[in-house]
Amino acid sequence: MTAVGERLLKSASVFAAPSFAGRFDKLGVVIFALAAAALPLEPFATLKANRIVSGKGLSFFDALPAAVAEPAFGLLLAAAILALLRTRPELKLVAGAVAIIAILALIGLVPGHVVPPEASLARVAPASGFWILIFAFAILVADAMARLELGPVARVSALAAAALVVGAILGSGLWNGLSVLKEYAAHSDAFWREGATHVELAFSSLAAAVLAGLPLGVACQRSPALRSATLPVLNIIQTVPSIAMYGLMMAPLGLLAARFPVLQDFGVRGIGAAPALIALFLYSLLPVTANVVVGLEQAPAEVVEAAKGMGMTGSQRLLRVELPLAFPVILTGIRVVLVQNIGLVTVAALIGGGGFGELVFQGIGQSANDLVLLGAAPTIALAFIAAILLDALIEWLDKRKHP
Amino acid sequence: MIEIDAVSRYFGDNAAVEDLSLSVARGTIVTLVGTSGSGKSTLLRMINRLIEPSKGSILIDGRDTRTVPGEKLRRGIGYVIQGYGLFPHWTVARNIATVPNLLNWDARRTERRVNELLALFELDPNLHASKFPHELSGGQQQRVGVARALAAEPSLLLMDEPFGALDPIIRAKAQEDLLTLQRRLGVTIVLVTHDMEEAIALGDRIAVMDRGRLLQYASPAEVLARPAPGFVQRLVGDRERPFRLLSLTKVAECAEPGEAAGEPISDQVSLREALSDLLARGAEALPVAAADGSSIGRITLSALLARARLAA
Repeated sequence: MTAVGERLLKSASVFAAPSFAGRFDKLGVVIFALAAAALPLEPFATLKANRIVSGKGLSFFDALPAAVAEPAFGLLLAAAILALLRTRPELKLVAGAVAIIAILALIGLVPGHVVPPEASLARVAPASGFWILIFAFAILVADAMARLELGPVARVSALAAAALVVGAILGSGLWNGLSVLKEYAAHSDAFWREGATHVELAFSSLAAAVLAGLPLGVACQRSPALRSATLPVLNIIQTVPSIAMYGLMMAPLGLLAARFPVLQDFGVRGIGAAPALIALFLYSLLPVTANVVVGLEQAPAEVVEAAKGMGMTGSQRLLRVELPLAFPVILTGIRVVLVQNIGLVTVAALIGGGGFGELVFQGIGQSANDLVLLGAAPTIALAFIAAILLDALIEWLDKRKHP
Repeated sequence: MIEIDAVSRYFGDNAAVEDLSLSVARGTIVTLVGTSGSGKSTLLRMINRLIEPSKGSILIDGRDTRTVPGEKLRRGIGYVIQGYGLFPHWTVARNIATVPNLLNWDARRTERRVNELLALFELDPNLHASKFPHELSGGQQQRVGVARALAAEPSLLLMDEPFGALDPIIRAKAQEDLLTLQRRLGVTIVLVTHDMEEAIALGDRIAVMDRGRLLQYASPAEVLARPAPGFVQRLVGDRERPFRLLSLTKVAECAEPGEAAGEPISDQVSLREALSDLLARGAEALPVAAADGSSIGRITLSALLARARLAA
């Protein structure tokens, strides 16, 4: 090696030594940048004279009384700095959780500070600064939890703790001044009614898909001919956009109901819950069926051979050996379907299917963003909770099988 | 008693087994040996009708297997395969109870039988009954596989490469245990292996198969002494043959009156081990002792040479 080469290597090794940048957590830099920029620069809340007009953004310090804003600013900045440092994930988890709880509490203080008591129509809503801060610290929490490699029980406990915090804030009335809860107060009947419809549609379409997909999957696994005919069709159905699918359902169901009026007694019409349910069912069929097939295929050949050799009948083999072994994989399909359906039900409101989408589209129609949020937030929360619970269940089952 | 009569099995145009007849006497071990693709596993699986014969018939204790529904037939026949196929989601106890449960035994009888088998296979019921298969060593899994096959007290046990996944040391022990067990229970065993050594060590009779046909069906001594020309001869291996032959006979049968110096060897070991001992110690002769320690003469190198040569 030449002398120049050696010198180059030496200088390279200087760069490799712990540098300034090396002491920081890469994701932490992003979190810090987001938080540090959003805190002073982005509006924390919006104040509107009434429900529909566009409002005026309030900075962190304008939105909150100084006595609260200054220590809160310090606290959030400290949490962001902690995110920046390479330190223990437990510490980051606590910092992120404290920051999120603080932000959630702070937004509740805004109406009391900025709305004059006589302005009953004035609305306060969280603004971009609030959302960016929540987003940044949610990343911090999620990253810390991933690094801690929390088990299924710990993750469900964390979910329960988060639900408890949100429940406590809602119960305490801290958020009652916020525009979303004012929308809720005005639409509380619709909220719970549509919520029930939403959950009902998501779960009943899932149940129907499991009832049909399970035998279909078993049949597809047994018969390659049936499989090569069925799975591609289900695949194509998956690619149909949801709005188009709901549209496609309307015409045939409408005709059917017109032809056989008795069907209308069972709710079969071109619009409403029936086309929504059928569309969701069709979307759900592929993940369920495909996962049943994959799960059954995964059963080790010698285990199936032993089951046959012991004298199990076909159905005994299926029920006692193959399906139990396939269950975690089938559950993964069910998880995909449930989360997907909770989202897709929202669109079903377009054809009168009901669900939280009713609030969303009503809000869009009235350009009332708070009403959109009232429909969207619980939808996201439902999907999130379903995903965490089912993931935890799948992992728990897997762990039991091979610890 | 199993009577396989002119059985053939075709997959498409290929004959996996062709016009094969063979009978297995009650309480004996028959080893089916051959290379892969010889049809030995197909033949085994036709006995419990996991594969149906295309032609011919199979009788177990005088009864044509086709007259019994397949599942019912299989519940009465023990079945052990390579890799064991233990149900990974069931405990050891539930695995062993598979067939009793299929036969609807009452719970107490099943539990008693499971514990009996665990003890028989040197598995502590308190320690192992509630474990899952993946928590066991390979040797333990193998024993659970055999215990499961024996749970409903079948008189016939079919084994397809049951020791194939074991390392050589554990395999030798497992083979020995199987022999002891078979002598004790008196079950009939048909065992498939590709390993001639294993076929000789375990079989009362060896059936050598190639390309779906039975080439020779005889006792190990016969197969070694007079292998059928061609495939069997190659399979037996000329170089190994004298040693394998010696391994069939115990020292007790070859001891002669007389004295010899040195540590006595047991009369229960094989001539092959005696030869090894003689060579290792550089001795012409060694004293032979019975299990109780009494001397029963000596074994000489020249006698061993004569035995091996005479047979070859």
